[in-house]
Amino acid sequence: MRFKLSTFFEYFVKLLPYLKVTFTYAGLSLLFGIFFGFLFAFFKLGKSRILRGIANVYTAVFRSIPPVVLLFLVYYGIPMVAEAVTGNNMGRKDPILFVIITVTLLATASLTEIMRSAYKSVDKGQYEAGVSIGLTDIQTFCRIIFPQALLYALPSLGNLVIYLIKEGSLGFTIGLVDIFGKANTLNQNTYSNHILEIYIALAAIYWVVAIASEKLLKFAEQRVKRELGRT
Amino acid sequence: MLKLENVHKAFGKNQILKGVDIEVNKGDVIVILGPSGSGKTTLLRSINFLEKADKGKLTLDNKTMDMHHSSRKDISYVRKNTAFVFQNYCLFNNKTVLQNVTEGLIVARKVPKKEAVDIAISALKKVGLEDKLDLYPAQLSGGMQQRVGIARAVAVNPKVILFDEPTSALDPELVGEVLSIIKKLAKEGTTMIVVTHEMSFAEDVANKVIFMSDGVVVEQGSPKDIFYKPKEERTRQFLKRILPESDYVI
Amino acid sequence: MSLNTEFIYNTFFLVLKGVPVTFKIVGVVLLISLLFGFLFAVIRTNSNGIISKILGVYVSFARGTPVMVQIYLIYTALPTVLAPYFKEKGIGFDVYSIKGMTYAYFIFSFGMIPVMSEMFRGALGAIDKGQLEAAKAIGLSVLQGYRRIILPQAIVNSLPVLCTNITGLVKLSSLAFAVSVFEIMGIAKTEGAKFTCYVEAYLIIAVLYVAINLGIEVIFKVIEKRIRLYHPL
Repeated sequence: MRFKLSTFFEYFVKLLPYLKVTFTYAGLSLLFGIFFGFLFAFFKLGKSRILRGIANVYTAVFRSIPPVVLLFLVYYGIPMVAEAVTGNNMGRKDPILFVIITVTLLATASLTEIMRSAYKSVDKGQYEAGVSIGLTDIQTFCRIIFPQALLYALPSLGNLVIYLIKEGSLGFTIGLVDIFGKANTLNQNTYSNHILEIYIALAAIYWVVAIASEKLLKFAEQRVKRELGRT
Repeated sequence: MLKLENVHKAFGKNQILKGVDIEVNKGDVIVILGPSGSGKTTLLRSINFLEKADKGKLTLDNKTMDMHHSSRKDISYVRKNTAFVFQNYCLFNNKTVLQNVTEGLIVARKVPKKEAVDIAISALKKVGLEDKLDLYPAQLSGGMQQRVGIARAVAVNPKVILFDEPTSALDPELVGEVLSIIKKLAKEGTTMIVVTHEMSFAEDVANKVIFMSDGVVVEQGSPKDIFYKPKEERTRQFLKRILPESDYVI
Repeated sequence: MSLNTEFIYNTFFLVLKGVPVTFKIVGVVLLISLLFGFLFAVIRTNSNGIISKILGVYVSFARGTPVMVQIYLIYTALPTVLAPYFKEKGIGFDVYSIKGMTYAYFIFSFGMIPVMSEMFRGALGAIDKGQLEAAKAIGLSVLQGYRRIILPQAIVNSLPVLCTNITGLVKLSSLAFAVSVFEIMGIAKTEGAKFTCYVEAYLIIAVLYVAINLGIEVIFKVIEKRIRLYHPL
């Protein structure tokens, strides 16, 4: 079985720069997802039945749909919708746009749940104590409740990031040049002579990123446990 | 200084408060006693609008307001002039001891930071915790947390402090340290309303005892009157049940 | 903007033919991963030796790498390298004869076993150690103790997570087209390409998958409700 360690390292290094793309879509999707997830969590906890319904339908659909299906739907569907709305052809757009949209849609669904349960984990007494000394609702929320909710959400957030990176890796199917896309190109260019080294290097990069995220997460969790104790 | 008139509150089908009247004068130390379900905690929480009463009038320092149709300004006024000490302490978990005490001053009352810190430190000195300023609630014992809760209430210089069973969640050996602080405050003339089961505390410091049962005030008077000469049968029943065999009730 | 409704109508029934394939994949992988997942979870919970550590590495790898990468490694890269190797050594086995379905079973199980293992580890961890000790104390063998006391509790504890895992498996099966298996995704993709009605094709797929997964969630909600009557969850 032909496998050269030196070639492996060669490709490992060749692929690394394309992690930038991976982190870009993961990071942006996380940010947008937190915003919308927060919004939908707010809907779900609120009094309006319509808003609650919208949020529930959204999470039900986007947690049930396979990511690859959503990706293709977005890739073919969004230009179609855009054309219908604006009347002109969108032309060729960078695949990363579609990847970001897809991953954001998925992230929002998960984040709605994460934020909702994190918010619920904060003891109700914290809110009461806040308003009892004269803080307004908004002050109490921003200064007392939200920081604690965020800390409770940390473990799930860490998992989510790894999930986003994995699901976004499907971007290569629509031509995204992230590490996976680049790996495919490299393999084609070398006529599959180094196929094993290339894809093992690819797997290795993902694995290292996952392990690093896990360690970072554990570190963050320790700090949280120290500050919040057993609450 | 504080007056509650005809307070009603129901939770679903349960009518918890059935028309309660309370009067508090400056310097009063009022203890509210009663069996569980009598509505005493609900009454206390309705004063600073943690529970919204269905009916009733509240007067604080000549300002009267309807307890059900209260405006944001009214509620804010009450909350800025009262303070609440919780059974479960409810210290802000993400803030240090010092920050817990300065929060109400800096954020709600716009006190400049340096002044707020000075006030906070002196309040914490009063409860004996001035050496724990930078610790987090998770690092403190229950008794210490409750003392910080009291300092937090004291620091904002409220017209009246509301205590909701301040020692009920504490391990027995920690109850004493908290009670002695409350007694100290009482002796200094702090106006307070205390819901508690600690009878000896009531006898020591209270100048008025209110006995509630089934959502109404059954009897009120000085501790001596209530404990030794209860007029109502219900009061007698209650005292007999919870007081040890002693020379309280005949 | 108009959708080709005729296409949708015709293709829908064609695509439905893929549903049994999806169920087959999900069913087989579920059984395998539940079995091995539980086994591995028991091993990792009760010991810390070499095997436990190796399993730990396996779990880390399977959970840290995307499924597509695992597919490329096992379905694409490995045969390409093994074929000439086998020819060299004179091994008559034709690597390309392995059916796509087999790859699907293997690769998806590879990915699912760690997921189930983690689920069972969590469930086992929530069961008081004293349970097994009490079982031994009244004379049950370890195997009996596990079968009659531990396993039932582990299953009840796992129900919510199991639901998530099964829907995850259904979503995972959508990648079977990458190993040339014609389930829902594969069929719709081909039809879509034939008539260039991509959006309609993927809409059908989306609707089907969402329906299946929502159905699974409903079933689990019912099961959980029933169980709650007998067990405090």
